[in-house]
Amino acid sequence: MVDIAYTMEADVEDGPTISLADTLDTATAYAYVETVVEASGTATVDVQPGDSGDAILFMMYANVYDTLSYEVDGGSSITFDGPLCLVGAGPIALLGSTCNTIAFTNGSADYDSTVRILTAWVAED
Amino acid sequence: MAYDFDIDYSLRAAVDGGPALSKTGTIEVGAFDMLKGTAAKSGGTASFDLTAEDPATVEFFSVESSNYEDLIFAIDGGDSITLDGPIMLTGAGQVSLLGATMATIVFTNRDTVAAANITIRIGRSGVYTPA
Repeated sequence: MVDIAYTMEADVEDGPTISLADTLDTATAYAYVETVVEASGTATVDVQPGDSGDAILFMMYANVYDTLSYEVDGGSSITFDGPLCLVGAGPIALLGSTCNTIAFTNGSADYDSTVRILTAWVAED
Repeated sequence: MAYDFDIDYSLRAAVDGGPALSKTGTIEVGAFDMLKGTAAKSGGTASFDLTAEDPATVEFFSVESSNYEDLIFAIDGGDSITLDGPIMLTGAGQVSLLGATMATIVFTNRDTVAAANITIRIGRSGVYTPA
C-alpha cells in the first residue's frame, strides 16, 4: 500500500474556512504526470489503466488556465478553469466510467500551460 | 462584473516516499452559500436546494460528509453518484462535471450504523437572471 495525504482548504473572505484532510491508505499504485500544453497546441496523457472505480484520488491543476480544456477518454470537452481534487471512486466517476487518457487543448495563442496530474488507484483485481 | 469577496483555496497531495503536489489560488465570487443537513442511517435522505443561478456562474463547490460508508447523491434526478470522499471543485468548468443544472441535490444514506452529516458550500456570482 502507498499512503497518500491530501488536504483541500478554502478560506472565504469574511466567512468560514474549509479544511478537508485525510490520509488514504488503500492505493497500490499511483501515477504522477506533468505535461506542457503548448500555446495553440494539444497534449494527451495516460492517467491510469483501469476503470474509474479503481481510482481513489485524482488531482489535476495547471499553471495557466487561459482557454484550456480537456476531454477524458474521448468524451465531451470540459473547460479547465481551475484545479480539481477528487477523493474516492464515486467522485472520480464524475470524469466518466473510465479515466484512462486525458487530451488537453490549449486555446491560448500566447501562453503554454503546464498541467500536473496525480492519480492513485487500486491495481489489484 | 465586480464580485464582492475572495475565496483563497489550497490543494495538496503528498505520496509517502513520492511526489508532493500543491496548488493555491484565489477566486472571486459574489455570494457564498453553506448548507448543512443530516441523512439518517438505514436509507434516510437529505435534500438541498442549491442555487437558482445558471451553473455556469458557480465558481466553487464543495461537499463533505461525516460518514462516507454507503452514501449516494443525485442532482436534479440524474444518475446516482457514490460519495465516498469529499469533493472540491474550483472553476465553473470543473463544477460542470456535476451536470448541466444544479437545482436540487438529494443524498441517501444506506449505511445502517450511523447518520451522515453533510455540508455543502457554493461560491457563485450572486446574480440571478430569471428565464
